[in-house]
Amino acid sequence: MLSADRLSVRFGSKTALADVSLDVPAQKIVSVIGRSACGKTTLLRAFNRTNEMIAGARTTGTARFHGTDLYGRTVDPVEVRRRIGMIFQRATPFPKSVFDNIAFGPRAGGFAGDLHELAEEVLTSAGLWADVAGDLDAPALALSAGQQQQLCIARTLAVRPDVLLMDEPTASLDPAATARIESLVHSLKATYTVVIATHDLSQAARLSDMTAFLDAGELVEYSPTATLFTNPRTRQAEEYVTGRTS
Amino acid sequence: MVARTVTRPLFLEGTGGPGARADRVARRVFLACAALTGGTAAVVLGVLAVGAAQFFAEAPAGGFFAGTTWAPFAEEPRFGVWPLVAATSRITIGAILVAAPLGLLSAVYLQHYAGRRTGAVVAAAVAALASVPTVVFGYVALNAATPLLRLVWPGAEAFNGASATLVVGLMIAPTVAFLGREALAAVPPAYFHAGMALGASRGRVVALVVAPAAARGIAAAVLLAMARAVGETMIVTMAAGSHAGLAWSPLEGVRTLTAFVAQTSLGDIAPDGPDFRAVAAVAALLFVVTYAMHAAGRALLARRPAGSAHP
Amino acid sequence: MTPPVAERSAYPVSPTIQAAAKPMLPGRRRDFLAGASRLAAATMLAAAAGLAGVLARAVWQANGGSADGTPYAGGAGWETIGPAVAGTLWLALATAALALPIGLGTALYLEEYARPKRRAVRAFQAAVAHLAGVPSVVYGVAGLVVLVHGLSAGRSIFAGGLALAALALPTVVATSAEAIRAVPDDLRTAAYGLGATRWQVVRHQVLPAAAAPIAAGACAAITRTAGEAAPLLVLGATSFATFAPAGPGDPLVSLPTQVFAWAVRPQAEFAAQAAGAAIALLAILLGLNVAGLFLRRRLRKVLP
Repeated sequence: MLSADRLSVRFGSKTALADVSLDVPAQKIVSVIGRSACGKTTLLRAFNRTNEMIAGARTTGTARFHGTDLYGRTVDPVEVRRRIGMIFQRATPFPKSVFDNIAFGPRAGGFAGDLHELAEEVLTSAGLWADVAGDLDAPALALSAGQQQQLCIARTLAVRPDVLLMDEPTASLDPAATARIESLVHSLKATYTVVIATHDLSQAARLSDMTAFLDAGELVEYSPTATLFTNPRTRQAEEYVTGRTS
Repeated sequence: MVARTVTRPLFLEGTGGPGARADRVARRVFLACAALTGGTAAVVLGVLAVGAAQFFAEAPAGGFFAGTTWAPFAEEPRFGVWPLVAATSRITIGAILVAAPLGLLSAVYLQHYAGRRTGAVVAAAVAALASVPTVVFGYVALNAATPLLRLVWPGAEAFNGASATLVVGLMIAPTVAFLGREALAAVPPAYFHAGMALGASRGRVVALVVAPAAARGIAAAVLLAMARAVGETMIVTMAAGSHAGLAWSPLEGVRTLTAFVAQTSLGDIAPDGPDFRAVAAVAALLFVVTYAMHAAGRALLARRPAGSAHP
Repeated sequence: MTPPVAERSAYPVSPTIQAAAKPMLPGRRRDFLAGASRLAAATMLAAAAGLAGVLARAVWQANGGSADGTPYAGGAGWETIGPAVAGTLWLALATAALALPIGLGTALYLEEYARPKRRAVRAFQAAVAHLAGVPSVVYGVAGLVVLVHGLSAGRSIFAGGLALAALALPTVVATSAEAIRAVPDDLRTAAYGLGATRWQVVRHQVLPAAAAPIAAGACAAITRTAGEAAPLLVLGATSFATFAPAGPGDPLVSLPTQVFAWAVRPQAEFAAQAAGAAIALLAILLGLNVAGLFLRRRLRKVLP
């Protein structure tokens, strides 16, 4: 349902993503692995059109969502971002209350329902409801790092996207918080399609159905996770997952 | 596809999503603002360009830049701008000779010597001086600086270059102090501590380690303050006089570029008369010079490497 | 003379420690910058105090009366400076009402809507920023041609307000743009990632985060232009106002031009009036600064 076809992204003269083609099946978790600066983030951002906010970015090839070219002339990037949500590596709560963080996206999208109901629902999904239920007006920046990332996930869920793009959501968290986020991601699979970039191979192995291995902006191998980790088709992937290089 | 996504229509296309209308309106409003700003700049520039073009159609550019007599409204008009430029240069250089030591040393005091309380008091005094309108400085030049000067040199004229220079220097000193302090503050504290750890005196460390590291910022402070002195109008109009000669004594009156513009415009000038053309030509010259000085000063500030360059 | 530490010690002491125990040499630590910088700071203080003193003395002498006990004819009372005070307040209001929205809108367009890294946008921004360095008297010349003669606005508060707004505009644009640029990009990316439109990002994230420095910059620009005399003189401000301006169409009067007009007259009583007007002008500017400070505090309190 989400696919890339010969997708390339360049920043100035630097190629960040070269000719990547892959298909993300619905209701699956796809992990994207590779060394740092291999293009993981760029690929994710290409799917919700946030690369174009970086100066000098140029995207070629196509990315499709339900058959619609996300980069088509008549496509509104704002609408793309409402359908394909993204969670960034660094948790960036807005300097406002917990409730206002949740409410920002739905309000922007013209949500007409009960925001408190919605907040309870998404905070519960994100596993944060028990922690913040007492005081939704507390400043979001007062939460712990793990809770902030949970809040960012909840806030993205509140927009009701179909796809969640997660860019190393646990990179800056302690093990306990990481475990919380991982079980959350797992539970999201029932309703969402998830693409998660990670440098943590065991996380990719634990969580995902499919795994894509990127190297220097190129897609080296895209296989079912079990295959990629036990019986990779390519030598580079094998070297990477067994830790023989890097 | 799965039920969830089918329940919501796919309207990626078009720009009809919630908030899109407000966004389009906002974009147009802001674009209009930018156009107004650009238009204002263009109008200012256009008026000066047209006036100056008319001026040079009558007076040869060579005579303007090389001539030593400025008498645009005489029977036989002479358009040598040199006396005005010389007066502006003298007052600017004299003023910066007052302001640079005063301002930079104040900056050093505030950044490296002042205690918290006295520092706050001095900083407040500098800020207060910086916010005093130039016309008030003009009043001071006329009613305090000149009488004092004449106590020392009774031969000084009532309108003279010296008191105007001194007061312009006082006026731009806060600019030097403020920007100079910013430049000193931008130097990584590690330099200062390293210097002090070697057992050098505070003054040695500031003069030999911190100040060289802040050289660009200090140069920018001096340049931007000089740009202000060139454009300063009220003090020189009120206290320096209107004698457009090549006077050498600082006790005589002089007339700067800005003073010519202000004094000539005091009488009603028609936009199609010869007086306006002369004013426009001088204003255009002022525009070019101050614009270039400001741009150069800002460029120095922008290129200041944040702690990367070190001695 | 107290004996060196080593001699009193019951234990053998190494030669290095003995050396350290020698008294410091105070003479070696003389600091040549200490005196000079203190002198400069004292001069700054004296200049500020002297300026206040010169103005206060002139007013005090005038209102204290002449030799025979009767006050000078003019003095520096409300009857003489009232119209100019009203004029300056009108002009400050006009500057704020025009330069603040237009300048902020321009900065938002350049920083948020136009691609700010694009060369043309950068060039436009730099060109506008350096206009802040152009002398105010030049704006007066342009204003005289365009406003007074071109638009037939006459020598009115309206013409003066427009000229001062044009003068403040480059500064407002530059300080607003700087404040907007200081807002972390993470905030924008996160908001866009949630499907917000540009205006929603600006309205709910960028503006609240940048409000305090924007207000501070605008306030400084308005205060500075409110004290300008040169452009208003060129526009032809009147120095003889008998009534306070009640609207934008009324004749152009202001405190700065009044200070000039009275200060250049030779009679002592006019010098006193000029000093009175100067004090009133400084009080208004101080008031504007304090108001700006409060606004900034409040805006900062809204957001952490």
